[in-house]
Amino acid sequence: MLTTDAIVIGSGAGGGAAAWALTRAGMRVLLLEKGPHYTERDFIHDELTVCRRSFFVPDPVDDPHVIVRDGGAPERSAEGQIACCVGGGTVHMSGYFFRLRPEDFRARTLFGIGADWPITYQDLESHYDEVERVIGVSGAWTPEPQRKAFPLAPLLAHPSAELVERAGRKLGFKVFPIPRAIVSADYRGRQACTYCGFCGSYGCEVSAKSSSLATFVALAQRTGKLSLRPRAQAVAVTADGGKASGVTWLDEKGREQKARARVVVVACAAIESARLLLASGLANASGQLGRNLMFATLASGYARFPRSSPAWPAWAERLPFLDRAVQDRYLLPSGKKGGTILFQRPHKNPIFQLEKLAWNGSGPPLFGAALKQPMREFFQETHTIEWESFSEFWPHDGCAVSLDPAIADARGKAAARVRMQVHPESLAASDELAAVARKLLDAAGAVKQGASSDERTYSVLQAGTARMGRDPKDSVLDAGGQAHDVRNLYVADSSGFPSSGGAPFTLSIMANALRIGDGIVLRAKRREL
Amino acid sequence: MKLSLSRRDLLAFAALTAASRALGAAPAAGAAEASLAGGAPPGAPPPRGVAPGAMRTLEAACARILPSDDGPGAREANVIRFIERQLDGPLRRLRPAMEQGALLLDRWSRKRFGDRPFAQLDAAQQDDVLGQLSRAEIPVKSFPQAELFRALHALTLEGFLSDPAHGGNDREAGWRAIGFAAPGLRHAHH
Repeated sequence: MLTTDAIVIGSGAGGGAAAWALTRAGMRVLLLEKGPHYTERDFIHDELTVCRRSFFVPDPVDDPHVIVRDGGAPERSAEGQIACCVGGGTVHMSGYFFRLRPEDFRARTLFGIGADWPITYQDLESHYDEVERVIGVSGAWTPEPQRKAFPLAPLLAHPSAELVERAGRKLGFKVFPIPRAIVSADYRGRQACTYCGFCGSYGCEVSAKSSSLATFVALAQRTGKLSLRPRAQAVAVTADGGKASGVTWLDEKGREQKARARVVVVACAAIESARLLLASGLANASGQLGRNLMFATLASGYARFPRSSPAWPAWAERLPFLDRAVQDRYLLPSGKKGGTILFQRPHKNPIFQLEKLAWNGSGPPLFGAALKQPMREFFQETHTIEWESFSEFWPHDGCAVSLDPAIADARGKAAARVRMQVHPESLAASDELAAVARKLLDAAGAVKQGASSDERTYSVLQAGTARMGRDPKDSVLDAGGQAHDVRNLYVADSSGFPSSGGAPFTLSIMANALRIGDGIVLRAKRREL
Repeated sequence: MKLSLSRRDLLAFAALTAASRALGAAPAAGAAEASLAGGAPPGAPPPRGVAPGAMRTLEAACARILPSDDGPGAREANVIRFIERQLDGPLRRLRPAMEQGALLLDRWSRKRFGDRPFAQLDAAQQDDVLGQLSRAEIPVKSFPQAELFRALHALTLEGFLSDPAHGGNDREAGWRAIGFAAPGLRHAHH
């Protein structure tokens, strides 16, 4: 049987970073990835193939999540699946790379809800610095933590960003460029962004997007210490005498394979990591495994501007990014926790946009003349600025992962059953942010505003199913990401996050995974593994 | 009215339903939109080709979802060719359900409108029937009407605005109608 130093399961934001942290220190790593290994040549601009079929996310017939929304009937769905490919969700992410803020780590103390982290912002700070430097993050400044420089200058913004900035000044908000995991200039052997506009929902054909695929996994491969196995679905982590011993997986032909290692690092994203550990019967002495599932609380909408507006000169058509953020309501006037508002140009995908126009209410989608009218309005008669808000998703008993008692994937492994529900306090805060966004866009001269959808759960960001904490009675992992009850078993994705924070947290997954990886290396050097 | 759909056929719909829902809800730039049912079903594939009668009915329905007016609609974009290729290829396992759905539209049209199949109704009557389908108001037992409508709706939009390589969006009629510039890197270049 194959024996190695460490097995990392999942190659996305967490697994990629962890694999690099271990290999750069000389540890031999077997990296198992459920999906295929795409390269730049696979990343075409075909909405149907890339965004609407099973390119990134598995087919819900073969590999479903069973979603139970607001206590309703269970539904087979692709919802909550993170891209299955080398690099995971970071391959098609938009890459909004905010840091969490110091108060995000102390939710229970400061706001009386959720949980405190067993670490502070300071514990992550040097890892944030390192991720931004190693993978390349473009930005100008952020208000809190106050930062004045990024490794790369911000991406070029569409001139309509000026409308948002002016409105912000009028209302007393600090509007700043969204820090993005896209390199705005050639960087460490990677080519600068070409502004093609097929960014979020697509893989980057020039590797300007700072995905795990283009950065951590590539760097880990260069150490010569990485063995990468795509199309390898881990089905069980094994342990021996209270200590992790290896992993069993199914290869691309469905054959069972096994390997042994001194350390096992799980990083399949919160839902699938919980599914794997529950199926393995490990790390659940607390009974907390799978609980405290969090997403990001979302609100979203659009503002229309006249076609004649000078903020949309024809020459700027090729600039896909507006990319402005406001965090002045990270703390709400009510004293409750708010979050981040983002302003963006509409996504280029035409099918996606037309479908969004059709699904404009709670009823069935519009069709016929009733659909062609908004189609003309959006595509031809107006310009649009879109906004999204991301805010704390408070953990509660209505949101959790378990193994489905009846439904399995095509290989016979029990599917994840996901109970989804947003805490009322999360919704209230999100509503306040939405009102701020609309007010700002009114001040910017919008002639019409509306909601983009009634969706409030942003399930591509997920966390919390194996909470880190000091007390083994109410948490799954210790502060170092190691299972309280299984030595050398680590979880290095956002499953360990005690709270979701008030901004998209992909950067925090990477930073935390480097921190956990460095901790493993330290223990290896002390011969504690 | 009775129609026959196996559990497996229903499952194919479930996948589409899930997708439509996720698609309607996905935030602007944050994420990959969810996948539709894809891949080939295990075991022997069903015989090729969608029943011609069913194709006529589906074509007429698509033409009401995106009608031709002073701009092109589903007909000009040859949406039905797209659907035919999808049901013969990546969405093969949805085919039985779509054929049964066409049968449902025809039977209900005949019952309501003097024995005329769906394709022979006038536009207002067709819209009326499609509206009923979308709200699951056709009196039929255990048929996922709303899901069928969503599937038809999604496929029509896809056939109108996807890359012409997939069979619809004929001569970029859909893209031209909305002023969308054809993207570079349209096909796998290996």
